Amino acid sequence: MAASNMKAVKLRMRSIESTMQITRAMQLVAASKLRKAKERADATRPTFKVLHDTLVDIAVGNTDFASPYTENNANEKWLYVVIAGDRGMAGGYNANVFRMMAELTEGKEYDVLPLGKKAVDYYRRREVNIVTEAFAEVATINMGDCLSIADIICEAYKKGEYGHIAVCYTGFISMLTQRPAFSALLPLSDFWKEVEEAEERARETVRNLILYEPDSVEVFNAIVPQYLAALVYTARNEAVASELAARRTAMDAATKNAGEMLDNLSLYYNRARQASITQEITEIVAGAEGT
Amino acid sequence: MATFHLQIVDLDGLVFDGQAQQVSCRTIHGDLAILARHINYVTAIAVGKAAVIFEDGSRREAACVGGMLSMMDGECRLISNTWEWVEEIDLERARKAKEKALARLENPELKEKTRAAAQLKLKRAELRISLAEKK
Repeated sequence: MAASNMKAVKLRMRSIESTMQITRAMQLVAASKLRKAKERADATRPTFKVLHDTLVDIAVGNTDFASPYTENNANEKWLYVVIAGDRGMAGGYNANVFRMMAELTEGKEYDVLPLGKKAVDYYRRREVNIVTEAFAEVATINMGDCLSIADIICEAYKKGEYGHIAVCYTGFISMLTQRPAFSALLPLSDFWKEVEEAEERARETVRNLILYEPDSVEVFNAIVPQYLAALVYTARNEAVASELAARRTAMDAATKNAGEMLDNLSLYYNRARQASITQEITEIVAGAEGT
Repeated sequence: MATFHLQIVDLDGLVFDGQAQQVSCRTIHGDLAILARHINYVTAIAVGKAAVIFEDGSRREAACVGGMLSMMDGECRLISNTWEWVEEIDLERARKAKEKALARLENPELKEKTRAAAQLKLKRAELRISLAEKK
């Protein structure tokens, strides 16, 4: 083994060490951020549930109301709100969302409203029509932004620009599992499916009479944008928690791999060193015998 | 006094879940108070002061912005966009928000939509300030 080869191994080890330092730091950062993100995702869940239950109750109790959000318009065009990450280095996190989107959008005419820098980049590269790039940084999106997103969606739907609106994100199942998920926003047809089931239950009991002030349509029109905003916000919180969890897992694996590579290389290096010493001794001994 | 089950949530999570004697808030139709055994009722909430009288008779005020209130079979659910108890209001921040909104409204070339948003911000800030100064 030549000395130059040993030097190359040493250099490689040093480079792996510094990479490992970075991956370990990224893992620690993701882990500490993840705790907060998870708390947030957990906190929004009861809100969403109460809001959803209330809307179902209203829909079940109400016999006749028409809202522009409940009507199906004939337009076949879709709008997808796609929530991806701001950064890579999170394993398959971004790729999984885009893969699901590709499956969903096959053969459909669609626009996107991307949240997250990766989503913006991805759709810009593919020259898909983007509604707005105002929400490129997913980490900074707050409730106010979600309300603006809901406003944009509602306006576009009322104008009849789109027939269906949905959100595509990554669901946080556990610290180790995150799965891309899909949820319909408008029209509230998904919602009605549940209502029909609830209605069947209600038919057996006495139907509730509800007093609306000023009237049901106005109340519903005031509530729907908020419901959508809450939906987007919940999805965003789940997605952010998922991204951090994915990054933590990916960086953990990277750190472990780096450690393994280092072990192998140092073994190789030591063996090479030993071999070169042995060889030298043999040469010296052979030289001494020769004289 | 009779009590009822009240749930208050805002978008940052569950604010209150328990028994209450009364809850009042400002709706898009005017001020309103809910007592136990209220008829089934749904309305949307505007920007305004809200107050809860708890089971033990103590009263707590809050700044409540947007959302809805529903009373369904004796269960009251108040879902607001933001709910801040008076003690938790950051007066400094509210004052800054007010100044910022006022400065923005001075611009005559403001688009109608941003103007409306700024006006809403101003209203919210003023509500917070008036509540926080009173305490």
